[in-house]
Amino acid sequence: MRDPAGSVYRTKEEVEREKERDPIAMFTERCYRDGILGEADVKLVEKEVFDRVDEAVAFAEASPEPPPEELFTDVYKD
Amino acid sequence: MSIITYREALNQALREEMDRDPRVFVMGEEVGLYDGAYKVTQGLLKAYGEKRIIDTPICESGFTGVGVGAAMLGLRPVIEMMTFNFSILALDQIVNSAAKMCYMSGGQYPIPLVVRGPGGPAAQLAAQHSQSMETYFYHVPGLKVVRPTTPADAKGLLKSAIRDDNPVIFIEAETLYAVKGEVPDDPDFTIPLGKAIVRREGTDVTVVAYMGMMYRAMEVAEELAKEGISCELVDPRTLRPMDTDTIVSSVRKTHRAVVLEAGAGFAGMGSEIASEITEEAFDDLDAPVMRVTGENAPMPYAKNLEQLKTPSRAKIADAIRRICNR
Repeated sequence: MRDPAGSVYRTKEEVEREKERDPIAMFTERCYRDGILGEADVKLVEKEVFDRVDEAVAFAEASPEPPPEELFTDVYKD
Repeated sequence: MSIITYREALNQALREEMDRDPRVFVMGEEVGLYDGAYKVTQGLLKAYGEKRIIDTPICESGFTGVGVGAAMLGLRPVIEMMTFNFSILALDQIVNSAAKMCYMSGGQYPIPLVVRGPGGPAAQLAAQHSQSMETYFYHVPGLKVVRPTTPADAKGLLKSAIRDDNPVIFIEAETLYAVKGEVPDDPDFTIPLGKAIVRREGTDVTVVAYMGMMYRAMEVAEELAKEGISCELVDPRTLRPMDTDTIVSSVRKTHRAVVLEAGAGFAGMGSEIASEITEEAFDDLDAPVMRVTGENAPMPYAKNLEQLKTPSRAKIADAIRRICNR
C-alpha cells in the first residue's frame, strides 16, 4: 500500500474513518450481534489462519532451491 | 555533456519537451503527488502543476483512452505505465484506437501519443511483472516501438518520441534506471527514431542486442577479445521501424550474426531480425544466424530459476564461440 499513514493521498482522518469500515471487523461484529459466533470461536478461526500462514512461510523458508527442471513445470497441464 | 542516470535523462527529456511545447502533458498512476513509482517524474508536479502532471485512478484502459482522445484533439500526451505489464489492460486502446485512428480516419486524426514505462526482466518480480512487452506491440502497424539502452538514448529517443506524430511505445527497464552515462545538455539534442547504432566495432561476428542484453554483450565482447574473437555490437534502439540497413551492413562485413533477446524466443524480436538478415544478406553469411533467447517459460520467482530463464553471459559467449568455430 502506497499511502499507509495517509501522508500522500489521504488525510489521517480519512484513513481512520475507513478503518471503521474494515469488512473483517464489521463481519466479526455482525457475527457477535446475530449470535452466530462467540469470542472464543473467532479467536480459534484467527489462530487457525495465522498458524496456516506461519506453517507455509516456515515450509517455504526451509525448502531447498527448486531444481532447474522446475523452470518448465506447470507451464501447461500435460 | 553531463554524467547522469538513465532515470534523470528521462526526467530531463520530459522537462525539456514540456518547456518546448505547452501541448505536452504527463498522465498516469503516481506520476504527480508520489513523484513517480520509479521517480522518473520526480519534481514535475511542483514545476508544471496539476493541469500538466495528472495522477489517475488505477485504470490503464481509462487513462490511455483519455490520452488517445486528447491526442485526437491536438494535445501531445505522455502516458506512464507503472510497469509495461499493466499495458495489457490498455491493449484495446493502444492497438484498436491509437494505432488505427490515423489510418481509419484517412489521415485526419494522427495520434501523437507516447506510452512509456519500464518492462522486461528485473529482479524477482516474477511471472506477471517481468515480461518483454515489446513483443505485444511491434507486430502492430501504426505503432512505433523504442527500447533505449543507454541514458543518452533514453533522453534523445524520448524527445523524438514526444515530437513524433504517431503513437510511440517507449519501454524502459527497472534494472537500467540507476545506470549512469554521458548525456548531452543541449535542449535540441534528439536521436531520430528508426536509427540503430554500432556500440562496438569488430570484424568476426555481429551481435545484435538491446537493453540488458546489450550490457551483457558488451561484457562478453570484452572477454572474447582476449580469446581473439572480435565482436561488432549493433543496438537497433528502435524496434519498429527497424534499421535493417545498419544491421545488414554490419553482417556483410563480419559474415556472422548472433541475435540476443531477453524474452521468450518463440516468435520474438530475434526471429524477426534473424529472418531480415537471412533474406537480405544470405550470400554474405558464413554460418546460419543464431539466436540466443530467454527460455520459453514464464519468469519464475526463485532467484536460481530466474537466472536460468534469461540468457547468461556464458550462454552468449558459447554461442559466439560456436558460430566462429572456436
